Parts: sequence; C-alpha cells; structure tokens
Amino acid sequence: MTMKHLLAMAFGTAVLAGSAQADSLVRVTLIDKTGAADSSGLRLGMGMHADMSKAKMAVNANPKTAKRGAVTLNVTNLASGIVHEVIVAQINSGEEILPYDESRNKVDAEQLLTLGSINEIKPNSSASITLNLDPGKYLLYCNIAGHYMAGMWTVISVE
Amino acid sequence: MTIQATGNFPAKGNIMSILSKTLAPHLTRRNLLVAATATAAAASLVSAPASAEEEADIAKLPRVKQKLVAPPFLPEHEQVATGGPKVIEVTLTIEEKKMVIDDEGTEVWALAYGGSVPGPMIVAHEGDYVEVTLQNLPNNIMEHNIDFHAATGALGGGALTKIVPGEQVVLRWKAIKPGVFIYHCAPGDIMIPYHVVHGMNGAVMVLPRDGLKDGKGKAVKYDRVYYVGEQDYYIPRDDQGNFKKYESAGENMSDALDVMRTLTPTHVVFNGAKGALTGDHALTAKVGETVLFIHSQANRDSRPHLIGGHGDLVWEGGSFNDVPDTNLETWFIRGGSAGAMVYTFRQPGIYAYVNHNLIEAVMLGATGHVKVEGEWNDDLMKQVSKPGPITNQG
Repeated sequence: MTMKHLLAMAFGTAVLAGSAQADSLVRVTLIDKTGAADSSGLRLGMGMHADMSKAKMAVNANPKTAKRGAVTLNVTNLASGIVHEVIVAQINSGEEILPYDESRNKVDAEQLLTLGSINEIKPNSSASITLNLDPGKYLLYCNIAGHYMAGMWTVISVE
Repeated sequence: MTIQATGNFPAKGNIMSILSKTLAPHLTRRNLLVAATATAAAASLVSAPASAEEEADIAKLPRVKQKLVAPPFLPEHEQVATGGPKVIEVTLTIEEKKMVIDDEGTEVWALAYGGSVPGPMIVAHEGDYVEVTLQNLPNNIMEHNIDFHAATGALGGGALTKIVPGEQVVLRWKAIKPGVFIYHCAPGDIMIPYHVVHGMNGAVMVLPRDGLKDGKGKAVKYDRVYYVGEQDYYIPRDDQGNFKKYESAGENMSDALDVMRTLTPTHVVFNGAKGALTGDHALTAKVGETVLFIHSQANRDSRPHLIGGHGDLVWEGGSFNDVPDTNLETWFIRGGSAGAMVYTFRQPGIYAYVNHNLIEAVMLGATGHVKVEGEWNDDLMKQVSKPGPITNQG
C-alpha cells in the first residue's frame, strides 16, 4: 500500500464521517461449516423455501436493516481454509429466484444489478466496503462455484 | 473506526494478507489446497496406528469415564492412583456463547470448552491415557481444535483435532509428564490468539501416581482443590468509549484484532468474569485445611498472590517432578502455562487471591476471594490496640 493510497483512504473516511456512519454499519460474517462434507447438489438459494438448517455455508448480517446513504459492510471470513467473496446486488424482494448457470454452478451475475463486491476474502480476515445505497432490498452472496446454492447468501434492507 | 474502501478494494484484506504472509506464507486458494493436503498427509503419517500389540495392550486397560465440571471445581479424582494405568475418557464440548464479563454488562461471544471460561480441568495420573471426545456443537459457526500442552506430538493434538460445527473427533494421548498444563484452541493463523483471548483455554492436571510430594519426599495431601483460570479480554469500544456489543460470534473480529494488537487487555479476570470468584462465589476453606490452587494463563504473564497467606509449596512452572518452592509471597505464571500451589490456612477470614499486578487485580478484575472459617490465632496476629488518636508522636 503506497502512501498515496493511505492518504486517499483517509480522505475517503473524512468525507464519510458525519453521515451517520455508525448507524449504517453492517457486520457481515461468512460462515463455512463444510469441512470434509460434500455440499454439492444443495438447492438452498433465495426464494426456494429450503430448509436452511441444512446449510453448511451462510452469510450472516447484523443488523439486517440499514439507513439509506453510505452503508459500510464490514465482512469477516470465519472459514479457516477457504477463500470467499461477497457480492452486493439490488433485488426486488427476498422471494426472487435468481437466474442460475447450472453448468458453472453459479448465479448468473450478469443478469443482476451488482453494486459492489469484495473478492478473495482470505480465511480469518476482514475487509470493508462502503456503498451508497437507496432504500430497497439487497442480496449479499458468495458466487464461488456452489456456494450460493449451499446457502451462502442473505438479504438486507435499506430504509 | 473501520478503514474505508470503496469498490473492489479490500482494505483490511490487504493488511491481513501482509500479516498472513508473515505467519503463513501460502494463503492463495491453490496453496490452501496444497496446505490442506499436506496437513492430511502429516495427519495420516502421525496417526498411523501403533503396533497392533501396543494397541491391544491399551485395549486391556481399565476405562474410566471422567465427568468434567465447571471451574473452579475439579472432577472427582484420586490423589494417589490405585492400580495401574487407565484410559480416562472425557467428552469436551465446544460452545460459542455470549457471556457477561463484568458488573456493567460487558459482553463477549466466548469460545468455550465445556461452556465455561476457562474450560474444565481434566485430571489424570502419570502413565494414564486421556481419551478426549471433542465435539464442535452444530450451532457453532467456527472451526476449532485443541492443543494439549500435556500431550506429545502433532502440535499437542492440534493437527489431529480440527473439526467444523457438527463434527466430533476422538484423540487419545498418554500422560507422560506429571504437572499442570494448559490446553487451548489453535485453529491456525490469527485465529489462534483470537480464540484464546475469547476464552478458549483450560487445563489438565497429571498427578504423579503416588501423589504430590514436598521437597523432602513427604506426601502432600490436599483437602480441597480449586482451579483459577485467568483470562485477558480485549473488548472493542465505540466512539463514546463504551464497550461494543455484537449479535453473533466472530462479528467482532476486525475490531477485536485492533484491540489485541495494543497488547492492552480491557479485562483481566478469573474464571471468565469479574467477580466470578468473589462474594457469594468466593472459594471456601477451613482453618487447618490444605488447599491446592491451580492457576493458568494461556496468553499472558501473571503473578498470583494470596493476600494474608503464602504459597507454602509452589510448583511455579507446573512440573510435579520439580522440587516445589517454599513460602513464596508471590509466584509467577508465565503466559501459556499453569502452576500449582498448596497452602494450609492458619487463620479464618476473607483472603484475597489476586494477580499482584494490582492494576489488573483491582481495575481490570483479577481478584478472587477465599472465605475461611475457623478459630482466630492471636499468636500469629493480634490487633494490640484499636485505631485511635496518636498518643505519643514519634
């Protein structure tokens, strides 16, 4: 990280300060209980009314409601051995069934309105992203092959 | 305050990756797979069965189920072993649970062996086998394992016991070193200190088969035994200086790591919470009783002191093969170890058992009480006259 980057980031923080940022912090944890278990073949996507208690992968967000404006997602990958990612997409409701590319075992992200993402969050590490969000519903999901259908998604609301 | 990044730039991720490079140089996705394979290979190497003969010998040993109890208490045990070596079976659950750690309602999502901080003590005799069924409860969200400082090989068992929520693993190790030893979670990288400072540690006591001895070879019997597990916590604060609360385990990670890096704990407590061993929860004893105190600190140095008493015999480093020190005023527990002390109470009253860094004792929580009943001995101490005006100024 260069000094210029650090300054740019510091500036970014200063600009955002005072925008009720503390009210718009969402803590996100990426949970992965797969271990040696095979989680392929699961159908635990959004709108599928699946038994999520079977999910060995999950995205947990607290709180699930944020205020409009700058929303910071502080994401921690609690998996000890697997890299995960978080993609933020605007959705109409938490009941939608997402377009899914079965051959790649991924959500067809190109058909979604993606607002931001944090890629390659290493195990046991955290990353933050700040997005300017309008009221609505937002999906947070991991689109590494198989992870979405294994349950690795959640929905937050912005009011 | 979190470092801000917009778009795809993982600010903290980068900082963490620098750390990761220092601690574990291969954390790319492909290398993780390689590492996992290597671990599996190492595991299969070290878990290659002992010869069938040895295994058959162990199978012939009597098996004893030891019911673990929450500290400060210890499971029922013999001080002097009857008979030959045994296999001690214990079940150690792992619970991620919210605990209150002081009288102001400060919370921590504890990672707790046996559901307590510290985890329960396991007791064996030298030559026994300890067979631990480690269970990571299904509602947990993190991978865990266990490193027994009393055990030999495979990172104290850490390399053979990694389990995700919903799994269990059985590990057997032979107790070849008599003494008191800590155990703790060591799941790798930054999670090692993170788990340990969220309460994930406990202790094992391996007694000599013929019991404890003083420096002259005389048997030492204790009437009571207590386990004091000291815990340092690093609780993040908000902009107003108040301790933050979180909705689930692990959510505090980036905040907590920032506090941990200061090496300055917000709390130093005995048995999980400020006040866990004071008032109604005070330890108890009677005049004339000999009490064994075991003190562990899995992460940080400590210096126990019994106010109004002494350490009659102190195995400061924890090894029962060592000749105990005598009549210590304060003894040292190096971070990452346990030590043992016996004291025979000679006076009634309330004794304070503290970490004699008095800032930690009084301001951060490291104080316990021992309430001792019995007859006062004027020979040892007497208030010759009550407080009053100075009569003859010196």
